[in-house]
Amino acid sequence: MATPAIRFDALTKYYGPVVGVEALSLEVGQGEVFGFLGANGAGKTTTIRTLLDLLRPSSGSASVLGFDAQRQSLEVRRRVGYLPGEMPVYPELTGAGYLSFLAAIGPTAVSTTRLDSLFRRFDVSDLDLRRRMREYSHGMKRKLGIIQALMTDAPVLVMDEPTSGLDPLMMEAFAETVDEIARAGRSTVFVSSHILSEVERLCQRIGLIRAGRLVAVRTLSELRASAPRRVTVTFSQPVCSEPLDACEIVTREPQRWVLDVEGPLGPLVASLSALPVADVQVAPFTLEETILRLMGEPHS
Amino acid sequence: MIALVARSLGRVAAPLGALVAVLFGFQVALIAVAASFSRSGEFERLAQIVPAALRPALAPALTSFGSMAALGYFDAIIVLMVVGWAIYVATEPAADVESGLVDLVVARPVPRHRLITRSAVVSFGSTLALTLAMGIGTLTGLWLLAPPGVAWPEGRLLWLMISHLTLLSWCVGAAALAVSAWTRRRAAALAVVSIASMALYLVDSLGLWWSPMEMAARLTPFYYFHGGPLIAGTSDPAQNLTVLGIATIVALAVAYWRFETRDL
Repeated sequence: MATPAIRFDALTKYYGPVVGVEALSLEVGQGEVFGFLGANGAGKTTTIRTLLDLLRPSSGSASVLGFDAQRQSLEVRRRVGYLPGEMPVYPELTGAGYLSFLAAIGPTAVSTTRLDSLFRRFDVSDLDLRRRMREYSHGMKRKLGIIQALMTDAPVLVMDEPTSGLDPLMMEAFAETVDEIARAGRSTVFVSSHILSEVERLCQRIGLIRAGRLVAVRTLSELRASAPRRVTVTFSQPVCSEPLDACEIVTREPQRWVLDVEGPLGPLVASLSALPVADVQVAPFTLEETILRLMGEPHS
Repeated sequence: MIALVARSLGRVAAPLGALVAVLFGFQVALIAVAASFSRSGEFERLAQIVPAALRPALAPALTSFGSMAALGYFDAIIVLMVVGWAIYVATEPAADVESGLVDLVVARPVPRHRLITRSAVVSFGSTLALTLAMGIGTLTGLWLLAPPGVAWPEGRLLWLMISHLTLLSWCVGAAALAVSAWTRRRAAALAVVSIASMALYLVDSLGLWWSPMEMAARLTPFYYFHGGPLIAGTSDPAQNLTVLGIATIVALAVAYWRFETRDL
């Protein structure tokens, strides 16, 4: 079995009494585009920073391509392209100077061809590169951040809220870039986000983190398949029987039930056959609703 | 490593240049004042008007043209300027953590200890540049302004002044590096080390005037650089420099250890 690109093994990080991440275990395969989804403060950035040895775990471990994030952190960092959630800049440097500095301390030489293609893709002009970064907008800083993470062609890309502050065109450019990386299969992409549509657009598999705990890891198709449906049943006269145990009752009135049903609808339909049903409406949950439900549950 | 040092130097180049110019200019101006006093024969009178409590520290510097030329190395404002500079530059690791730049740098294959080495190199190197600029200022002033026939300060004395001021700044700079390896805010590191330095300076000053404080003064780095006794030849430069050097090494070791083990 191939070495996972990223592996967390019972990773736990406490900040004093505050839980950053607790008992997080996860594997991301090589070449995979993985979305790490959670609300603000859920523990996404803590997890990522532990991977890069910026934070030291309270217990457990993390590894990249088989290299331990703490004991072999230089080997890990040689193989990772990283975009921090907050884009730090040297305000007195020009964009070109910034990238040159980061290339100089990077693991490998940066190809001019690669850089030029990234500049074109993210619409960064020569004029932009000559301006000092203190004059940059948030979106422009973010574009430079994405470029510096991608410029070394690292086998593992770790990106914390990559499209925050980007306009829709640049979000699409970023998505195209990730698609290309996924198609080429050379790099693994680990994207953290609190925006479902972004993760849905980019990722093959999603991990959901809530209050420092990983609550679910599913592929998008698994999530869609497991999505419950909301069934509204209207009766021609009041009924007093109980709905099936397998259904979750949202509202229950004498002539109207609203139920959330997971799995096949057959048993529900069978149980309704003896009742004076006037109408049945079935509405599938959106992926967003499914994820919100998972995030709201203590475990899944 | 070269890229890291160059980047750090780039960030402080403008204020460093300004400070070099100020300290160089001050040394030249001091020689001009000394030349003026020498021509008007005021040195003996000057030494007598110094308050008794300050005589051990200052009076030897005011007895001749040669000794007054060394005054600029241990004047309180000059010492605190140079030490303050060393503190400012040495708090760079805390600034990197505060701004998040440490994420960009340490996410690359850069060992953590290199950030401490970088800041030590820049703090110590730029402090040395300041004290050397002062030395060059003194020599320039002497060449241009010394009255004919007056004795220049001994080369050994100038060298002792420069080496003491440099090592004192390195010692406090290393302490600042250790504190900044602990904190997440540059302002916090600056405040802690600056206030502690001022307090230690005052303890040392009190030790000069009041013997019960002398033992406490020995615990401050400032105790090991008093210009007056150096001019008078009554202090032990080797011992001073050894104590300051050892304290610098200990503080540096603490900085390396702490930065290596902390969360960034």
